[in-house]
Amino acid sequence: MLAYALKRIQLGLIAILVVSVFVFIAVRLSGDVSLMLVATDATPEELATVRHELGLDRPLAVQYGLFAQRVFLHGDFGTSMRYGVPALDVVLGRLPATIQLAGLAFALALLLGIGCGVIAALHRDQWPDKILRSVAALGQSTPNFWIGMMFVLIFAVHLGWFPTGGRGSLSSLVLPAITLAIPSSASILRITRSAMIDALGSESVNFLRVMGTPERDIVWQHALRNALIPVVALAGIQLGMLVGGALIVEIVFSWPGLGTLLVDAINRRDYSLIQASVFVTSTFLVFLNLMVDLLFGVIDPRISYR
Amino acid sequence: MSLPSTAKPVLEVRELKTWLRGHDGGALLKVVDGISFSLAAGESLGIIGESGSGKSMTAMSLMRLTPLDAQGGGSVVLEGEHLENKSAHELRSIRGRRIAMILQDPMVALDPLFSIGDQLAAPLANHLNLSGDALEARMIELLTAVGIAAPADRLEQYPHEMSGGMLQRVVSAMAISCDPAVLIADEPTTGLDVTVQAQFLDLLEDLQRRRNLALILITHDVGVAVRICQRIAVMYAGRIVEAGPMEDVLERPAHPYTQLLLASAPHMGGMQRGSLPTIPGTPPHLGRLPAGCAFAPRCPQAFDRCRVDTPPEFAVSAKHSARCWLVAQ
Repeated sequence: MLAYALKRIQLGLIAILVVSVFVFIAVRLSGDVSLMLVATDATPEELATVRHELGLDRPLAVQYGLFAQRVFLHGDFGTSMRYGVPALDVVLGRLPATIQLAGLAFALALLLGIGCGVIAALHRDQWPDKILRSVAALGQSTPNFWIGMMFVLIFAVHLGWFPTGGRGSLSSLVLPAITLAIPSSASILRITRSAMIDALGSESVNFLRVMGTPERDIVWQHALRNALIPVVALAGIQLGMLVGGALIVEIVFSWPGLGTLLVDAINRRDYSLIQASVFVTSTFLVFLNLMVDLLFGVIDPRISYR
Repeated sequence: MSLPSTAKPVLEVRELKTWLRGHDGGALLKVVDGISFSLAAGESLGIIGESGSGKSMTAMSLMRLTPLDAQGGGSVVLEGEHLENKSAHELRSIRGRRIAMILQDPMVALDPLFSIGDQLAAPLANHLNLSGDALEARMIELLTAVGIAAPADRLEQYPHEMSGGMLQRVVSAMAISCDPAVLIADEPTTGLDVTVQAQFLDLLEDLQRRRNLALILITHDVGVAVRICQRIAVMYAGRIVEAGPMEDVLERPAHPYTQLLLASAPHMGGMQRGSLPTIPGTPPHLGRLPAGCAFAPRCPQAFDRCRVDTPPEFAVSAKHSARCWLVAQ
């Protein structure tokens, strides 16, 4: 188990390193930073001076080396042009809001997806299964932002049950979290359903029945635990999509998280802030995937020994 | 087909039927079509036949574990109690406790996510309410009984850490864990390496004798049945076409199907010369059974009556019977 965990952590660190390269290159590809810093009528000499001060006249590899050194050794992504404080501080200030939203949405998605998936599998091809599958297909194919806007229209504007946006009391979390959870719970429902059906038809469940095992043990211990292996694999992917989806949902509900921050930073070409946002988001995802991988080791005894 | 037995039977099966609706929604398939036999404690019956002859469905019908849409009929009496009137809950307390089964492939019969100890403990806790030291001691005793060395260490292991032969021993330990009266073994050696097949059959025979089990061994391999069974029943298209004491059937097979089946089996131990004889044709589709005897189209000795009337059961000798018009002549 420990060797497995160490191997996973190693892979996670490599992933973060690769992310830093992509972040660095992507921002360099998006345009010349120095043009943003000088007056529109600056002479080429003035431009060259700025470029020299920023180190932009040096080879790309050297620039990356300096960037990586600052990032990994000092956690320094530079100063946000808009906020005038270190970019990382701005990003970390916004992170809790996104974690709160994505975390609640993920919990909702797991609860709804696994719960309804098991119900659908137990009533295979009967009406509960048919209804749940139709709802899941709808939830999976409807764009997130549209659902969000409809929720705002119905539950916030017309019924006035929840605020239209912003991050205030707990009630402001309800609509964005549900919006964000819908597509993921639909995917999780479908994979749980098919994995449960496979597990319930397996030879080992057959043997449990032959041995007179109570049906609730068969369903909730054996079949569900076996079905959770593909569900956890999907949940890992869904986590990434949730954080990505959070960026869009945050904008619909004016949720002050990383999504709104990132879009704002891109619009203002606040490069330090873009780099810091993307890097922190990616590192967060790598960390979550690491957790998912470790969870596999807990569920499936065959993994620890690979 | 009734098989009179000397001792008081622990299992009596009368006209057992399991009919399934085909996947295409067509005619009812008579997968098990009127099976009768009885079995006393300490007796062993081999049910042999080609794949698709209804052997495994017979076993599942005995356990009352047929598909939900199956239509059933006949009676199964276990230790004097009719199983066909039992509730699902009552049946669960009987399965694994009084009638148990060993499945074909030990590599998939156990749950890969639970340790051997957890899985072996479940029937003992469910049926006998064992726990703590008594449970532990019983598990060790069972693993020892099926010839597993260092049983205490094995309890901690997971199925993927054990070989197929070892797993089939664990499955057997689970099956006999609550001292059932009847043990069904459905092709128990098919999933094993040839080298451990014989060892496992020895174990099965040993368990059956020591624990006075009524054993039903289902196999397509005549050699396996001959090795450990006292009686034999030959199935074809959902019916027992010939049944009797092993020596009688081996020496004087009455049904042409049995004769061909025995001739096409490789003789264990000796080298075979030339190619093995085969039975011409294939088993009939259950949705398109011919009129008369189901074997008639493949039977070298069939005559006109075979294609018109279904043969009833005829006595060959006191305990030996066959469903064939040839016996009547």
